[in-house]
Amino acid sequence: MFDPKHLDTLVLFVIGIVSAPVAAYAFAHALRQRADAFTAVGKLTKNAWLGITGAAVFFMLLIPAFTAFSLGPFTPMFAYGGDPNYHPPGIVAAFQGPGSSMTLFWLAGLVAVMVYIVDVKPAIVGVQGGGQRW
Amino acid sequence: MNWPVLGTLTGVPALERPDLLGKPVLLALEQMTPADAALVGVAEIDPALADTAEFCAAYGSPMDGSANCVVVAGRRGEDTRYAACLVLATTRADVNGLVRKRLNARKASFAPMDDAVAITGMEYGGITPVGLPADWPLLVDAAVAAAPAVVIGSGIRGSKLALPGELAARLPGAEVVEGLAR
Repeated sequence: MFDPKHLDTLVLFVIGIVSAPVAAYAFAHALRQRADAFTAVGKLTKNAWLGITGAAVFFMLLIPAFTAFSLGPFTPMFAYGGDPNYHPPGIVAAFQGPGSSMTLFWLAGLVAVMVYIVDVKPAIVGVQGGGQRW
Repeated sequence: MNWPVLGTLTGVPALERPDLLGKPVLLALEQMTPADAALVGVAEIDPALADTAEFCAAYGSPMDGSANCVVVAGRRGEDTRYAACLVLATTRADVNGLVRKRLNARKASFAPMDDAVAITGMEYGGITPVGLPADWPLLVDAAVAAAPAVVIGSGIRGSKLALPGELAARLPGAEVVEGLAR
């Protein structure tokens, strides 16, 4: 189980698990909107958002997968030196081990997906007459 | 008069084929001066190909020779006002900016298709700036007004109209808006 002193790891673990489906949801949502809705509310074009959210999905799947596989799912992390028995989940290892420099792209993707969900999505839903649901 | 903007289709003067016109469209054309009405051509198409992108691909008509008519609903409190926007198919209307300001609305959105169809009396996919309700502003993008000819809907899915952009800009209620489309 998670030790309270590894709370940061727990948070990272949850974000790492949740971010990929959230990004996939954002991509799927963008895909199903009419193209002129994006321009109508003064946002980037539909294709631009498909590219952004699509790239975000890619990094959110690729980075944890790549690093977890390269480290093995339960590699002890030297980041927790002095605690040789601690075994973080593979997805957390993705943020800490070799290849973690790609976390930059993961983070950029996460930010872009959040912008889509909190800013772009409500605007384009509203301009299609689907507002007042929030 | 011929309408090369229709691509592989051959246009005929619209009033010669009233069977290819939606009812409000026919009425509006009959109210034009004969000289203006003669500038409007009509051509029969496959109703399954009425969407602009498919129409252009199927009949070799240029995308920048088609104009889309977008019905916008502007709301302020309980009051809903409609307007139509005419923009080239290669561009998109700035609904939440210029159109919203022009309607003096707090919130502008695409009119739900069911409402647009019911109020205009035109078919889904065939909504056109010719024959709109008299109290609707028709906002025409400057690029449409400047086009030598544009393809627009005919009120039904089974045909398209072609007319000079200059005439579209003179339709009842029309005003040319610079920067309407992006």
